[in-house]
Amino acid sequence: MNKRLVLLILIALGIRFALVGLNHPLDLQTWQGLFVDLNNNKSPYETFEKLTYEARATQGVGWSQSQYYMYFAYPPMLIPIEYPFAKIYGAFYPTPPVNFAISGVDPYPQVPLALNFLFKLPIILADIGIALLLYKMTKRSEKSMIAYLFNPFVIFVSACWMFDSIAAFFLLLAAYFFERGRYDLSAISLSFGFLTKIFPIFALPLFCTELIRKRSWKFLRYALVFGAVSALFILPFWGGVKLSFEYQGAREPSGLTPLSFHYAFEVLGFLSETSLLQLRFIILPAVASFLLVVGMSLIYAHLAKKSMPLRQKLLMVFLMYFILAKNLHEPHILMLIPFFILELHERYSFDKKWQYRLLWILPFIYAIVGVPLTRFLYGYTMNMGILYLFELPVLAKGIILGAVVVMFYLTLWNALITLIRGRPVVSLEGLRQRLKR
Amino acid sequence: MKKSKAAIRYLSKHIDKIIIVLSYILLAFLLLALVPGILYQEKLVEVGIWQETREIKNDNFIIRYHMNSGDNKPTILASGGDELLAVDGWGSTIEKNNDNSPRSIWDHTFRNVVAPSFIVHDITWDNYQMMQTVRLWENRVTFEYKFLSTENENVQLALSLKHRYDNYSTLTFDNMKINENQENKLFVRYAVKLELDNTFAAAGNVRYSVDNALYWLRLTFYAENIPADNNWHDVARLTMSYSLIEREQSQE
Repeated sequence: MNKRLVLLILIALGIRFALVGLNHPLDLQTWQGLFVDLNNNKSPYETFEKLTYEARATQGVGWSQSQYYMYFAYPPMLIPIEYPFAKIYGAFYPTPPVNFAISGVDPYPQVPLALNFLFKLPIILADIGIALLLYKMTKRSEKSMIAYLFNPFVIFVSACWMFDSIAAFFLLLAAYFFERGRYDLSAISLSFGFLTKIFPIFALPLFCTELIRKRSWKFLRYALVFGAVSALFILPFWGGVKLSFEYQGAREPSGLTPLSFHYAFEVLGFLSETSLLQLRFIILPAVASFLLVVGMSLIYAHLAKKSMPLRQKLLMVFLMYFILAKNLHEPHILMLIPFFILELHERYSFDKKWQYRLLWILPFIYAIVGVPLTRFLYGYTMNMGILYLFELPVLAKGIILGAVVVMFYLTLWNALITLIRGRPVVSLEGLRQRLKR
Repeated sequence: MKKSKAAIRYLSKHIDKIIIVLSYILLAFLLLALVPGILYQEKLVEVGIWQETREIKNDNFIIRYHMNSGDNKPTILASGGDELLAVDGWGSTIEKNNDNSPRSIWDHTFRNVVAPSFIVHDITWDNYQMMQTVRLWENRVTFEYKFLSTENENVQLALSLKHRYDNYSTLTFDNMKINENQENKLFVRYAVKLELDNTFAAAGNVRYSVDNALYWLRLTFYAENIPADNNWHDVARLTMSYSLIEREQSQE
């Protein structure tokens, strides 16, 4: 590895470590609880279950969200990944206080910097892993590596928020191994990705159909390895994983999806409370489930016989998934970034460059306005004036977030259609040419 | 070998159509899963919980119970009129409106009179008993709860209370632990955890009656400076939920 590369990685690490003190309050409560649980050799799912029952006691028998406590509701891969770091933390903080807020109330946990540092270390290392994979997969394109390492949105998500980079790393690694014919390793990596965050599983049908397209029975083995590895991790935590999946399934549509329009209905008072609940928890999830099956089947069927690079197909699959997702939160978009960088490296166009930019800038704006961004500062101040500095009046916030969702959704479609047809529906390049003339 | 090659060739040739057929099958399963009520009923029985909501207004108060008692039917004994209100299975909602006796004293006792086979999160309902007394007068309402473990076991019971706060009302607690988290107070919600200590029971192995249960709490809700024409109107609305959350290992 050359010196310049090492220097770039060190700078990227430095920037991320400088920001580890910033957190989304709700998620940090989960990381704190996770570390305490792991240090006590206790399954976080057990705590999740207990908190969930307490939430039900607080909220009563209600609809969906109140039936669960927002704690560790992920697949189990984070447990073995974070276990050693939790133990190191436990050596310095043997009896750390953990105080879960009541369900529905915003927590503001105050934690030592060591917890932030240790919890985020594997996330940040995954970022470096992705950058190095991009470097390898682009035949040593430093530009691609830099595009990922110094992307402000990537830095923000990995250093201040979520562990999506770990799942993205495993997914990219699965693609890397697959392209080299190392199918078992690819299946294991993909399984690890699924075991970290659920949605890498949408790559499984693609990998299998790729092998089928090559007229190889290895797709059976691929699916078997994937299933066996997943089962190995899930079965010991079966009850907790089931509860987590139930929770994820029961969530009302939210985030960067047009299905979250129900919030506007609530603000504008279009529907009665009962109708709104029915819309949120029955109608929209049902519609989303049907759309997901139809949309994903169409994209798999479309790609099944197409001869094009796997990485491009993966980008298309996840673009389609994000178009259809019921819950699409800002950090999820990180999954697209490495694949889009690969696409730009190999088939650059002005339009794709702007699609890529919009696909991370818009979620970034959504977080800045929606959370809002200033709330990430709460580790340093509890001054509500500062924490809610960016909090806009409900109507203004709704209009901005709504506009961002619409733009983001159209960009997803535009990017997908560009890849399918070879040209975009809305071409910025065309617009630029016209302006030049 | 030839058959295997032919099969994969066929699969490869028709994979797009196969995917579409599979998606139809998946959609059919989805439709089945969405048959209303099936999954929801299962979930409710598993949880085992009840909730009560009170709305106290000018001339009456309404008390609603949302109960999930599985297939069993608990009874509610209302002392005022000796009424016996039966609950029709799980998920029932009953409404008791005391229009005829405004601001009367309202006492009732919950007793689970069903077989011990109804399991709620690893605990049987009939291992404990709860008595609730509600007293309402001019500008004050008091809820008194008594909990009893009938089996002398170390039972942990959680009671949480959510209170819609307004300018006229304050809420005070006696004889109970309050979640002291400062941040939570900003949002005016209170969670109370009442832990039943069984040391006394373990020492003497005494069975109590619910009337002299050791562990009880009293919630006092009162309002001050209420405009005369607005007494009790939208002042008090309390939602309380109870669930038994776990049974700890019983002591020898």
